[in-house]
Amino acid sequence: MLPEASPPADLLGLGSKLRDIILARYRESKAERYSIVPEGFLAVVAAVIARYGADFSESEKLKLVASLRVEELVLARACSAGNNAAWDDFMAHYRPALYQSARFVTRDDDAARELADGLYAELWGLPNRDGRRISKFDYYMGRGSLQGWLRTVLSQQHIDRCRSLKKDVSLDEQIEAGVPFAAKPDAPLPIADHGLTEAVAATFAELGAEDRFLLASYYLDQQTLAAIGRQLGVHESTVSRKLEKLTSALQKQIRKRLQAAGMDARQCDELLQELDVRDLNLDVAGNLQQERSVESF
Amino acid sequence: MRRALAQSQPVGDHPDADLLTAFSEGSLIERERETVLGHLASCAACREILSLSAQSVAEQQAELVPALAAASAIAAATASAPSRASTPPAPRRSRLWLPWATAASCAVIVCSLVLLHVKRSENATIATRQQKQIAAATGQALDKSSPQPSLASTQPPPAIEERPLRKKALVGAASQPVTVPASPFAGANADSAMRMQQAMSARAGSSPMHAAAQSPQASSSTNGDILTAKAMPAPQVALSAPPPQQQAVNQLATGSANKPAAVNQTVAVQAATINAQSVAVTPEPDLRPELSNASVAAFSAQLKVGAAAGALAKAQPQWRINAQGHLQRKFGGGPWQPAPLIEPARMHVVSVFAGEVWVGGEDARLYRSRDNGDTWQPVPLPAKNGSADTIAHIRFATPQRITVEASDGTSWTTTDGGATWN
Repeated sequence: MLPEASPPADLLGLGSKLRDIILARYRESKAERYSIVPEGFLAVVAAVIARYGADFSESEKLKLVASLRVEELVLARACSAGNNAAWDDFMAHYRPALYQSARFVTRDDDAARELADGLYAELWGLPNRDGRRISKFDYYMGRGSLQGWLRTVLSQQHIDRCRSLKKDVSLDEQIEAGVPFAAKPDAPLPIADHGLTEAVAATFAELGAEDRFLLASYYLDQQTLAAIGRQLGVHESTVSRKLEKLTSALQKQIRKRLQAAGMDARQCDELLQELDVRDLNLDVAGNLQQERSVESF
Repeated sequence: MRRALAQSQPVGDHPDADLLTAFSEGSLIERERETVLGHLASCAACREILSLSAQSVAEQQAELVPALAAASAIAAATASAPSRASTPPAPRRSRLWLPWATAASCAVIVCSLVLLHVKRSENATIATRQQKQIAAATGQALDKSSPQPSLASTQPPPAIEERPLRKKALVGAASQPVTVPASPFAGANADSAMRMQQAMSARAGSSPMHAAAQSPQASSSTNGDILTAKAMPAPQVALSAPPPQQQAVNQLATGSANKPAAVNQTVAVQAATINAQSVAVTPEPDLRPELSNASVAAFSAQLKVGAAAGALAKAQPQWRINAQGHLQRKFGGGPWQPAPLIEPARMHVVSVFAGEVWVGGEDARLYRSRDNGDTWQPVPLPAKNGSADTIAHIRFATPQRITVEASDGTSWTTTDGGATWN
């Protein structure tokens, strides 16, 4: 979906302090290089604030404006507007990185070329129904780096493409693979409950977002500690420590709840021995089947 | 538990690429971060995009910096293999190399210290020997030139400091009669010292200041280079020369100009003065000690010793091998003269150390002279690997331990000053 057209800054109710900071950032952005006037820049930033910080407090809006990558934002807007100098800069600084990123995402030169060319065409702009050229650059809002954004878009497009190709399997291939004759998967073995479901549900409900993210990334997605650390911006040993702490806390909490429900210590031990953390995680892995089909942004 | 976990649905809208990028780059504000994290915890699709993007960043960085690549490979290996095996991750397993690395580091440090100690003791031995030679020579000079008693003869020889501390040198102005500092290249091996000196020679040419600053380490000049080699080190006064002392230097310069030479050579008083001045360490004013008359007199005597030793150094010829491969020498500011070698041969390298001049050339010819090149003795090298190539390097570790290397890499070493070779 295209970002909404930006209303004039004064209509957005930008405070004078916010306006001053935006104008200060205008000077940092070198927007005049691409013939973007302060009012135009103000409108661009106002659109970003409207998109992400509509319910933000004044101080949060200030932080948001301060964190914007204004130089890259004006480059993207200027490219979208067809500014030649901006395109020269993009070609010089970002195009090689675009193809390199595609290579790392796809791990295949041909696929990388195809993916990067496709995105490049979208960045240049494809005409919509009205014949107006719509550039993918319009979706860039300067929250992260332009190169990082390009990489994320490439990753997203690559995943979408892989999923679509996975669906397009011919009947012959399915027969060859034995799909029609495959046995139905076994029904999961019944597990003695003894109030375990409630205990686990209550314990999981108390977990914070980061804890759930860690559990899901590590036990569901089978990601490495290093990969999780990269995503969270922490060292892998920190991730390891947190996970260790988290699983031990989970065990304690579940045991506590089971004991509170009337189970004695020995029964708890037996139950948790049967359903130790690995079993628990296997269950988590089997049951955290989440939404996987995602529309493109 | 399954039912409970199955209820976890993606929270909120999917974050766009901008937000995911900002999340991975850590540029979201706290509230947004929590929202995105909450969504990611329950949305496998967004986690997949984020993971792929972050992975490609890591790989790109690893490709750019090979060291990072190695580090990330180790990290990936330690992170994925052992911790995936069991539920509780075991980060400590990845640190098993730490004790080994620590032990290896300790071993390297101990070896370095031992080598340094050995090197220092060798240098100290050389410097002590040379100091004795200088003291002997300068003692004679002073006897002839001045009735004033020499501090060098009345006081015990000063300790040789390989790396004289600046403060120590300043404070010791009165107590250290003549300090023959170790080479500025002390601590480096003879080879590297020689190379550094060659570089210095090449830059300074035959400047007297350069000559004064020559170290007692061996120096050599190679064929075709107009380099100089001083046979003896110029003694250096590792003290500052405050104004009264400077006067003493000047007095000494003018006074000793009329005196006969100490070792049958012309005493270059001016050069000696320059020696004394050029090697003086300029002190900080607040650290400069106040000198009594006695200490000034003592220092004056020291300078005489220094000047005489400088004259001794000045008496030594400079050496070079010209483009035709002929060995030449010159005394002071005189012209270059061919050195009388026994047989005409094309020379390649000349090296001077502890009063001996060694010269090597084609067909593995090697000569040495103990009288500044007046007479030469051939040094026969044993046949080795059938090598009869040009002598390329003559390296002195000590006056007794000398290594000669041919241009084809063959090397000979003596530990008895050239009597026998290995």
